[in-house]
Amino acid sequence: MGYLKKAPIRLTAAIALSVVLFASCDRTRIEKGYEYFPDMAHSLAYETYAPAKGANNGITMQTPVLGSIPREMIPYQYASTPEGRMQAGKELICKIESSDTNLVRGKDMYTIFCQNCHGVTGKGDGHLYTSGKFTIQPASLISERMLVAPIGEVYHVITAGWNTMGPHGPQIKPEDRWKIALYVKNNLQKNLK
Amino acid sequence: MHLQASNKQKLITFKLTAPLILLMAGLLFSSVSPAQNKGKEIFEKNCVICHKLTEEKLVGPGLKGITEKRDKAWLKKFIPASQDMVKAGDKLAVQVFNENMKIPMPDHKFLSDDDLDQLLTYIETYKPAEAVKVSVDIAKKDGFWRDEIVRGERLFAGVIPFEKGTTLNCVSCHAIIATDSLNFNPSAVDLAQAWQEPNGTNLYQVLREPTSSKMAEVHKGLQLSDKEIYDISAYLSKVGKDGMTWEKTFPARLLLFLFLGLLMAWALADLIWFRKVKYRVIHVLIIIVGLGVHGTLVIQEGINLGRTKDYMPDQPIKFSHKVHAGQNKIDCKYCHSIADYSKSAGIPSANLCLNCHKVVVAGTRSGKFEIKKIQRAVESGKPIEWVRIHKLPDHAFFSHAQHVGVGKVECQTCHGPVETMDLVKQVSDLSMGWCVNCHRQTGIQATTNKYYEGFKALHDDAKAGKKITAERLGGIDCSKCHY
Repeated sequence: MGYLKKAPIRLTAAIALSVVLFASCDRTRIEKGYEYFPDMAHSLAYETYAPAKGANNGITMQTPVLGSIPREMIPYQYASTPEGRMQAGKELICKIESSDTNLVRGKDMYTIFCQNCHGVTGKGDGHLYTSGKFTIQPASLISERMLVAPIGEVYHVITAGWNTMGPHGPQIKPEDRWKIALYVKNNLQKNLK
Repeated sequence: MHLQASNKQKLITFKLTAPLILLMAGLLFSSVSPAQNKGKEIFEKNCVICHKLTEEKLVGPGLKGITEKRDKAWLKKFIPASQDMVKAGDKLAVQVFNENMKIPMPDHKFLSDDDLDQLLTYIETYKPAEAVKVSVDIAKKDGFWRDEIVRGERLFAGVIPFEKGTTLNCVSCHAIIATDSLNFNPSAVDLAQAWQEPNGTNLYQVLREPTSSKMAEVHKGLQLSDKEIYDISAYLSKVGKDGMTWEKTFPARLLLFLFLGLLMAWALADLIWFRKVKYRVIHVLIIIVGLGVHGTLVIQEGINLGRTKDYMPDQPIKFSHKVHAGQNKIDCKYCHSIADYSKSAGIPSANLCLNCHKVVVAGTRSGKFEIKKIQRAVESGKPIEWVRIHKLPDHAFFSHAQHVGVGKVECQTCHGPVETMDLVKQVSDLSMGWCVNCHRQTGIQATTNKYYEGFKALHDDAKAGKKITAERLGGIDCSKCHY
């Protein structure tokens, strides 16, 4: 019977250990677990990206009806061609002043959307290119050609894209695009030397 | 005699020369394919990003018939150093430069004269791949015989070797059983789906002509017969239907619960009736510990009801945040660009992926398989159905605009170190207590964040004894009356 004396201690230790070890649930990573009376937990209305059974194509986020323009949206009319770029450069006027707040916002947006390709100084030496992931050298924003380009051209290229650069219009609000253009024109291109 | 001798001599010479001719011919013909391979290799490494071998223009012009259009010697000068030629004022070079929106073509000075020759030969002789001729029914995608499926399964798993001996088997890369980490190779189910969809993968073609260098490297030495591929496709048809299998997790907690329950029952029975164990302290200990563990388990499971912490589903595309946000240092908001001013942080559209993946067509580890899914989604207009991980109950309102846009909370605060995750996992439990705790502990950026200036102004005005209307305190917000 001697071993029984020690048994409880061992048993307790074993149980305590197993509780610690198996502290996670008995479910795989793709299982969500159980719910208990999920009152008002699931939306009756379609959520943003949820599939919509009612719609023909099954999508919640529908594109505007053909021929209609959403509120606050200004259609962009310049194509991503050399002519479009020229025209945009001539016709587009920046209505946003180059105040400090706007330039700071421009810098923030530049950091998020541009820096990874065009680099901190705009030379076209961003991390994606220098690390070898992106094999085509991004354009320099401080080249002679860009120095003389009107600000509308910068705005146009951000909006509609150019060559291998995709259009960033859908990602960035028009106001922020202007602020990036301001930052490129006023900070990157002026701090050269 | 003389004539005979000379005839004999001729015969001997013929005997000698014939093999020589054959050898020469053999060399000639065989030399075509390595040269082409070399040319192909050079082309795929250096040119394919900007040029197509058709007439279609990519970044640079399409190269179909370029060797007839331009002088070969000129091309051999242009490819290594086009910009030098433009600067030197070569008329044709300047014309080409202007025609292509003045995008400079990178120099390729590292290509030797021989390399250039082979490259040009490859471009000249290139013919679009014809459909491979096979001896089996290539269009068959369903309704295979059982023995075909079984044989395919065995080939796939490497249980029986391929005819032309190779030690490779499919299953060690193309998994059938899901694991906890991200396997960048397409799983067997992925392969099956890609093969079964309309205009899907042509297995016979792909297995003979690998689509990416990664695939070519891994599939090296793989020479499957038509019948073998046919059998494997039979197996894939089954896999496509069954889907990924999961290894059942060992139900440790449940077993612990049951075991302790039985043990306690025994202890109780022994205490009252059997009296086999002398020392009562043992019974008491078992019951105390047992009840403790039972309580803990019940409480833990109870708390976890309706919470999906640690949920880590597979996504339709093997997109790795570790690669994109971690290694490539792409800002979270580049893709989730509406987090600043919208309730939802935004799932990027497939078009946005193409901003980079127009150029980056093959992943370092995944090859072309995963990135092609983006292109297919863009072409078909069918949305990519990402699986949602973080979801608050509908009765709680959460807006990214308030937290990211206004409060400048880092994404990682709630979502955890996403930039280190291949597969995204729900790190926080998203419970009410978790929300409230953070709201209790997090300080606002009262001085640096301009959003809070309004509060300061209110405070100052109140101190100065100025009139403060209810409106300034949010008194005419819609929800003050309409709830």
